[in-house]
Amino acid sequence: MKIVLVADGDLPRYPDCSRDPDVLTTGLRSLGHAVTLLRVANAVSWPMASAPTLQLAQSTVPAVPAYLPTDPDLVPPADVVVSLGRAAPPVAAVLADASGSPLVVSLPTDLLLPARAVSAGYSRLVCRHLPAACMLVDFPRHLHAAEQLGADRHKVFVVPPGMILTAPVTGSPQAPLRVLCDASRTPLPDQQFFAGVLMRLNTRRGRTVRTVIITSPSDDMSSARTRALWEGRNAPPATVHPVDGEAAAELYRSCDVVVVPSSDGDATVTMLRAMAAARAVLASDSAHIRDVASSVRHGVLARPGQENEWIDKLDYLLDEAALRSHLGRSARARVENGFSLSHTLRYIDDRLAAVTAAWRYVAPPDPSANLPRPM
Amino acid sequence: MPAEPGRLRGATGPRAVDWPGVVVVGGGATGLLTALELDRRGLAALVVEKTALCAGQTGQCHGWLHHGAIFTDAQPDEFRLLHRGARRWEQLAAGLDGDVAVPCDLAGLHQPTRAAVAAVWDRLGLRYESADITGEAYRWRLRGPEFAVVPVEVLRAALAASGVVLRRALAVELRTTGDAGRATALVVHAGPHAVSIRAAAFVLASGGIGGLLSGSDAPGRLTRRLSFMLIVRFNSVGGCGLAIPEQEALGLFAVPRTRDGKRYLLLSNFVSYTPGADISAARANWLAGIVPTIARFLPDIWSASDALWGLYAAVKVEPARDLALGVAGPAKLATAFANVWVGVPGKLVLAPILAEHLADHVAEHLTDRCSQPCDDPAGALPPVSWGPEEWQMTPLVRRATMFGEDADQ
Repeated sequence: MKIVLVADGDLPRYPDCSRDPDVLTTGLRSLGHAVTLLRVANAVSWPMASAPTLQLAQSTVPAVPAYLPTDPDLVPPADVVVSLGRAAPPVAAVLADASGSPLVVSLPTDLLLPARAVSAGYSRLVCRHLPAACMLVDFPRHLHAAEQLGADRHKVFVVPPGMILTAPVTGSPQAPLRVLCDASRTPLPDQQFFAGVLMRLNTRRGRTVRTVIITSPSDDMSSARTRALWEGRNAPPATVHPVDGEAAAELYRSCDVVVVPSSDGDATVTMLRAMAAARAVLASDSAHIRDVASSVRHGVLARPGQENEWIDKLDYLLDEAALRSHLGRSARARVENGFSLSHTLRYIDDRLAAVTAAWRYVAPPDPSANLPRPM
Repeated sequence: MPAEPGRLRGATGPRAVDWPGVVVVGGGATGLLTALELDRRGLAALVVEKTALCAGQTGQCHGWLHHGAIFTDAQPDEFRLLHRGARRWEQLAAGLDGDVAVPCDLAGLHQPTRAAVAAVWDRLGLRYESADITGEAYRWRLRGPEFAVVPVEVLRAALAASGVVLRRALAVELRTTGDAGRATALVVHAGPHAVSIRAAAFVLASGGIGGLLSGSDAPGRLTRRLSFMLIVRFNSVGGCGLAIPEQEALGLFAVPRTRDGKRYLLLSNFVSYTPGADISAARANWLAGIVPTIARFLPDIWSASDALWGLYAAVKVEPARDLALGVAGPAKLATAFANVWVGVPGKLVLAPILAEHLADHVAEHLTDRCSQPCDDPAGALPPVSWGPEEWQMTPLVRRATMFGEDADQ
């Protein structure tokens, strides 16, 4: 099958998750498909909050023809066009229509949140009016949100994100225990909250926790703030590692507890990464986390902002080696059964095959047919 | 409509294995006891469980095996049914370590309650001791035949001496070919692999059977209840099995457990909610109901300074019935397939009775069907682990944190 992936140029990088277009491209190619990845609207994200950015975004649409038949990597018509990200759907729709291919839209999670008033119109446009053959969402609650925004429920399918799984490490517990927080995916206020939890755990309970902080090696502004927080005079004992990729994965595998204090969409991937590494997780009790884990079975959840609850639960988790081991194993099994890349690729492959098999495109009339026949 | 994992398109389809007997879906008390009964009848039983054995409803329950004395709306034949189930559990637990089965007392404030409890045991011809208490939280106490078991320990020991095969897999689809009235195979997922297990009969003993039986009315004849369990760990005071009947302040169950030399108490009551309820509101409402009961009847536990507390939510599947409390017979439900049965006991104590009924039906169905060649599923399906019970995985916090008693400690 010839697949064209149209992805936002500024999608977050997840080197181990199917949400990353490169990972998805490689995975679909491994199934024998010919995949072309197009990145559009770099540094522009729809919906627009202000007029200047709206004009900037509109300026990308005329650029769409540049991706069309003149691109030597594209042999139209493609069997299917897939959109990934917020800005990609209109571009992918033009491409699909021009090449007579069905359009599959992977709806970004943040388009489906009812609280995002700015995106409501754009979300309705994509869900209700974009002539997509099929829409993919990450979790069942997103399916309901898409329906409420006007999507045809018979066209919306749940395809959970998938992680690249490597063998988990089951080494002996280290002393002192190590707690990891991935600050590259954690907003600063949530990091500050977690730092407060550690400080109080230290001062009130007398427990000193060895903390490992991961920051993004490329995001200078965010990394500088993270360093200022964790390496400041009043910070809890912590070591900051500006790493990503395999080095970050190694840190996940070598810690005893992963803490996910964030409640935003990125927390889902952080949670899955920790679960895939078979680590015990203490995470924020939010919808993004509950999409992939249930409290008790796959990790310990604590209510956002409830400092006493976080302190008590982290304290207990650090005391109970058997509990950490049970949670790690259950979490790993959960990812293997429901959130592995192979599962996700099979779901997507299945959907794309169904869409292309059912696609009946009526080609526009050939203008040359009206030309007078040569005598 | 979500993508259905059981209907994945694959180049080669799921790997097929033949099983010469019965496939049981669900590794809880019902599934395992049914497999044991089949094994006793000489039928090959394969249990597939998606997570761990005794980790679902069985791992969430407190294990009290009621003889019926605390159910106000039970009938005499139901008392006898409960007693028979409890006797079967008693036989399974016989000879095991003392911590696996613990005696439980009934206590309360009002004499009519005591008379009602004693009347049940008198009717069943069971012996009990009665005591009037002064200066305690309750005024009477009965020590009778009531006891609680740790289901995972009892079943682990029973299964170890059997030929039942236990495997980890997620059941996703029942398939039929030709004869639409019979299921021919069960498709399961074991990690990334799909396996089709062909067998002569299937028993569905799991709460989540709806997806396997779409089009059947069996799932509609079950109901679900949301409830909660409090866990308390303590060192300084004693704890024992105790129930306060529901006529007295919503009832209260306290069942002891031990682990690594630490003592725990599982606390619950009769109050439950519809699963669709706002879980935060239900949790707060449930705590508001049980806390005064604990403070009144277990004041030592409530005020223990070294105690740690935890809470988990449990959704219980049981046969639909008119009354919210009391006993209904275990549900043995027919399905659209002639060789597929559904079993839901509703109460742990009734699981052995249901297992016997299911095994009888299957044995009758399989009279001359056990001579097929067998593929050992060990190569296709991974082994499955036992437990732990839910309370062992629940994080514990200080009482002040659990009940919001302090804002800054």
